[in-house]
Amino acid sequence: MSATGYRAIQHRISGGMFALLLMLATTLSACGGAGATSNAGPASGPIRIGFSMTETGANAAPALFELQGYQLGAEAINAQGGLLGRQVQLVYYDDQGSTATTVQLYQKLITTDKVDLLVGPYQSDLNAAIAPLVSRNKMAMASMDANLTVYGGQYPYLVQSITQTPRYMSPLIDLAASKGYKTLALLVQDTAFPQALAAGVKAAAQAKGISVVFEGTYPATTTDFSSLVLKAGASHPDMIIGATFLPDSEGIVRAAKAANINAKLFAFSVGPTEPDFNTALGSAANTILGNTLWFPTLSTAGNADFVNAFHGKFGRDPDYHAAMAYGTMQALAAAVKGAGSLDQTKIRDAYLKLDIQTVAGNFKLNETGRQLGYQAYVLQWQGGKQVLVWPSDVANATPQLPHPAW
Amino acid sequence: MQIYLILALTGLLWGGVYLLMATGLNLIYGVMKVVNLAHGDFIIVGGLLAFSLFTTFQISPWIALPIAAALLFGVGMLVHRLVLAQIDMAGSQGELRTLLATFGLSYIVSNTALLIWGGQYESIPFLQDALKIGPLSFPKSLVVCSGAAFVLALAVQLWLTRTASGRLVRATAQSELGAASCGLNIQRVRLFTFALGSAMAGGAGVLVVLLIPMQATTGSLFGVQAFILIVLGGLGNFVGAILAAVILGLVEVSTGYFFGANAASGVIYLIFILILMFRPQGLLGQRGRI
Amino acid sequence: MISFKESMKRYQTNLKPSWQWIIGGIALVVAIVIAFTGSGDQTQTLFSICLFAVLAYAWNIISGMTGYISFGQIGFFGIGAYVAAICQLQLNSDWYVAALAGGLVALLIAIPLGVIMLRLQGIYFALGMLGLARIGQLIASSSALVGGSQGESVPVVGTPQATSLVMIFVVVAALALTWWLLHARLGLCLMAIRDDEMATQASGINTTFYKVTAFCISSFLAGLAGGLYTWNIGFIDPGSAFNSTFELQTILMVLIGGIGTLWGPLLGAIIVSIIGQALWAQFPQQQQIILGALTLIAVVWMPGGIVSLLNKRGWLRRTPVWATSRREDIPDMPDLSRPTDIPEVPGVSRPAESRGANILEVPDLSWHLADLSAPGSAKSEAPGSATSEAQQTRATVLKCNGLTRRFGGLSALSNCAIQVEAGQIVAVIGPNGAGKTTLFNLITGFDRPSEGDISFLEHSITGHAPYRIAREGVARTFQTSRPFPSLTAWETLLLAAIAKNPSRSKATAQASSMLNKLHLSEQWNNSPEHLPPGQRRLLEIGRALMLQPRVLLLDEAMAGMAPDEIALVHALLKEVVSRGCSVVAIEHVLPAITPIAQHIYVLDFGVTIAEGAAQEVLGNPIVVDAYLGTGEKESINA
Repeated sequence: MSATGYRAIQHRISGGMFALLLMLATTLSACGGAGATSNAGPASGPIRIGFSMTETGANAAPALFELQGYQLGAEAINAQGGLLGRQVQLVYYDDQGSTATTVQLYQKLITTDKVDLLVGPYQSDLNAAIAPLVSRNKMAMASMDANLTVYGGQYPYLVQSITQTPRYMSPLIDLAASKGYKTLALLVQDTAFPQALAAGVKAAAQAKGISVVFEGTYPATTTDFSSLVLKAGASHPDMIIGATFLPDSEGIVRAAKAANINAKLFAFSVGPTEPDFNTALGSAANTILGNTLWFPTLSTAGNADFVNAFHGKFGRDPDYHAAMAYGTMQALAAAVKGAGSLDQTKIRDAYLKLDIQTVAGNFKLNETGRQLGYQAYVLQWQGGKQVLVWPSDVANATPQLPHPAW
Repeated sequence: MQIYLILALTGLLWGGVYLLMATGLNLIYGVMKVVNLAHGDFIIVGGLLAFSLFTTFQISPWIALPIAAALLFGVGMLVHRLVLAQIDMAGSQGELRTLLATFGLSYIVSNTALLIWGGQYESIPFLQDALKIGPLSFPKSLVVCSGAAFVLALAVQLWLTRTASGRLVRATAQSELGAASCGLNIQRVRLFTFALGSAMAGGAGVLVVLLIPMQATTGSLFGVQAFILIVLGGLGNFVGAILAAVILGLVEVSTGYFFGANAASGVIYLIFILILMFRPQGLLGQRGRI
Repeated sequence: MISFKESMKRYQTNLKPSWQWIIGGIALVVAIVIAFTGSGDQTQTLFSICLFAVLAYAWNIISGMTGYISFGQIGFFGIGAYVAAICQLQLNSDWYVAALAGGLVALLIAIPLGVIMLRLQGIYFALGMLGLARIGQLIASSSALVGGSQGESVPVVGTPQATSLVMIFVVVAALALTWWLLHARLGLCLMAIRDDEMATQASGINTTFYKVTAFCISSFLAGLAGGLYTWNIGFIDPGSAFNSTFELQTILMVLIGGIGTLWGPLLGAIIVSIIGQALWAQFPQQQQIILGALTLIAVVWMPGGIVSLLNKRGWLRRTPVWATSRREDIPDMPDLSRPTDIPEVPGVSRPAESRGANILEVPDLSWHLADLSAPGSAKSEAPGSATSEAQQTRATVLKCNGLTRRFGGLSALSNCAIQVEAGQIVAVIGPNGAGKTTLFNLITGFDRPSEGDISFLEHSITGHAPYRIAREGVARTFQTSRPFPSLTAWETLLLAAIAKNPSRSKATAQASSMLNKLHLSEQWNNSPEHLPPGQRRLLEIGRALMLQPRVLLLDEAMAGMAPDEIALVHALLKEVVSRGCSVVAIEHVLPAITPIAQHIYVLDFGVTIAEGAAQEVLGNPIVVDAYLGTGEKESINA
């Protein structure tokens, strides 16, 4: 085909492409306008609870548990007669894990959709991003943001409905102290959540007289942990604890195994909680400890029913995100009942006065909205299954320690 | 003393892992002057595919390797035929347009992987044991990856220089017009090269997932590291890439040991900037003539 | 053939009314209305569209107009965001101070970065910038200054209304800036750099200065946008400030809108935002995939974007730079009864009007031999021609000593010694690969000699930047024609005129008269690509002549020219030589050059194998052996 002929086709294609795009855009935006409020139900009447959820993107899978927890919680409220004599309804959008989108969405929820109540998004950084906005609009919001930064009183309308970060790993230290371990090597990922965890670990260790003989930090993108592990092992610690996320916990275990670095106790924050930890490591995962905020066998209020109901509705067992979300709904219901109206300030005050039992434990706040009641627990992989090993009164298995040689 | 030996060997081995991921990219660039920004995502797809095959069907990674390579060969052919072949490669504008196209491609591949496999980090417990050599021990998976890398790089070098088909590819690389005048089907050679490079990425992914947990959206990290490696060695130069791999691995591991892991992750970008500033043609590359 | 002045007059009267500004104005009013009366979330959307528009304009300046595609724009956005946050948190600044500080710091950082990074070409630059943006993100994550990786809230948060109003204003400013660039000398230089950096340098333009300026402007805009983003969101963290999806969306917007154009970034920002919102509502899972696919489609099938599609219908076409010059600045065309306006030289026959049977016979230019062969002879017999001192004294204007250039083991040029006197015409001939173009590259500074030095007008120019050498008076053309595809013939000449004459009226006058001389006054608005090859080469010679050179280096300038074009070239050469300029010509078309050259150098494999007057050189057996061949009774170019 001649050059000019080909060019002509190119132009035709370009012109056609442009026209197609324009049509696509017009039709989609026409539908889009209608679709965005697809969650709006029948006429006025229901109390609307608004939030954004990370439905797409890298964190979609764990966030889905949270969404399902919210949904089950709302159903439970309605089954018990609703709030203030009205049914509740969830209004939510996908925030894609992006700060800018979340801010825009909460703007929409507050000013356009005019929802009656708010709960928080999945990610902690998104919660911090919307804190000023929500406070400015004086709407009470309970979020599952474990970090303490926004709960220092500067945003009086925010309350925390998940275990606070410094508490995450203190039961682990208790367990270690009970076994008489004295030295600790701490490996910390260089991001916010692990750093806050590490601070909690160090405080707990100091209180129990355990000394930190090594502390190493690494960036989130690290793939080779051999040097880190070697240096940690050089001080021959009793315990190697990592404030990590899933991939780095796996990397550290592999590196330790390969370099034959042994310790009496290996524990990681996020990592062992995930089923994929075992899938990825196989037998190497056994006797590794992790922390969790909730466990299906706990005998917290209504837990067994919650697990069954969740399984019945969604076809799988809940994880701690789902439990916390369900607990949030329970707390929300209690606060609204306590306030007796939809007045946000009264609801916020009611939150601060709550001292109730949810499926996640004891919901109780301090005067700035920080969560005091919720606890953390220690789990362990034994024989390819997760079991709860500490505190001993709620454990369903005994801890297998010390960690055998690789 | 032993610690230095361990560091040196570990560095060498990790250099091999980077080399494994970079060889396909080097081949594609050397022949077609195309930097495939989706290369890292192809690696991820290979790795996640191996993960699925292992966990769902208990297929060993050794068997998953040719499967992933074949699949990505097909994907590479498709991408080339539908996208790259349509771009007019005249002058520097052509290179940049291809770059932009592969930029968009990277988003497509990584988000498709996200749809299929979700956002979880995945890895396979295979070859987890340590290989003990005297008092030293290394993860078996690391040794295997590294070994495969050096073997592959040498094999490609030999193929390009000693075989007839390799000569065809090199001829196309050096002068398309000349090669076409000799009767070579340039489009076929380019198609084959791109597909082969993509297949290498997929195969590399299968081996690397044993070592590094992979998540659908982390592909660009691998891609950038691979690009830095081939720039350091000299774009299109395989011996240079081996040299660069050794250097990068050693530098990263020792920096990590002596200066902490934060420094180690930054040092690779630092090297990149230094190379671009002072010797953009890389260690063994040649300065372009006007 | 009409004069340039007449062409310009017709163009200016035919300019279509600027309806695009009317539509733009309406859009502006609509935006302001939404900002004031819309709901919180509608104004937030408006803010988001405006933010992307500003980022798009910023990217457009460095990547669209200057041609340096960058994947690291987001780095400056992030820097601006962080600086603004620091100003608010640590220094308690107001939001506008913080945002401006963000822009300024980004600009300051861009200066050294630009000088370093803009030495790189193509993909190296693109990916180098990507690497720098990553480093920026790493630094932000690991430093505890502003919340580290978890981020931090900032005290002053703007309402959506206020922030979107400000952002609208910034968009208008960015649009105005881009308009100005497209009509000013800065923009002209940038577009020339985009098309062909080497040719731009050869036209006497300091490309580094202009590139870095564009880079800095782009970074300032991006940094300012970052600062305003912090004010709007009220929260800063590395993930959002250095969000690589922003980069993708910005690039996509500019590609779809029209890269390098005035309205492209705005159109792209609006359209992609609408599409993005629609996709997110309907296909949230696939939104990123579809955006990536749109990028592919845009790159492959719509490389010029929507604006280029509109251009084909004659809409939104770019006005050539300074095409709306005052007509008083454009000189009149002299009397058209003579083909050129070059004064007569007594005793010299004008180029023959009729062509003989042998179309390769070059017009008689024996005037050169007559006037210049005798050393020290003055040109004062030519009435009206300017007589410069250099002509009288026959000084050496260009001298190369021992010039050698090695590439690895190969010597492209060995020990070359060339000497050119004022007003002299020198030919350099030899087989292909003999090193002739290498010689030119060395003289004009595009390459560095391995040994030897070059001196021009008694001072050494070895190692000087090409644009300086061009400005000082050594102009060249290129072996393969290097036109500026996206510029017009008029702008090509204007570019070189700017290098010598900063004043707009003088540059306009010079470029106009050259257009007339080259008989291109009707094609002034054409891209050189659309000119026939002969006229293209004429334009290049014209471009070189705009620099008012003392030495003109012609690299196979007359290849592919028709006889009347060759005659025109000779007439031009005659004029410049009569003003004391020397000419060094590489030629294969020997009949075109040997009659007028006073001195010939013959190169073979980098070595000067012969030199001297035409007769002795052409008869030299070594030369015959290496280049000319025997049995040359018939003409060389059969």
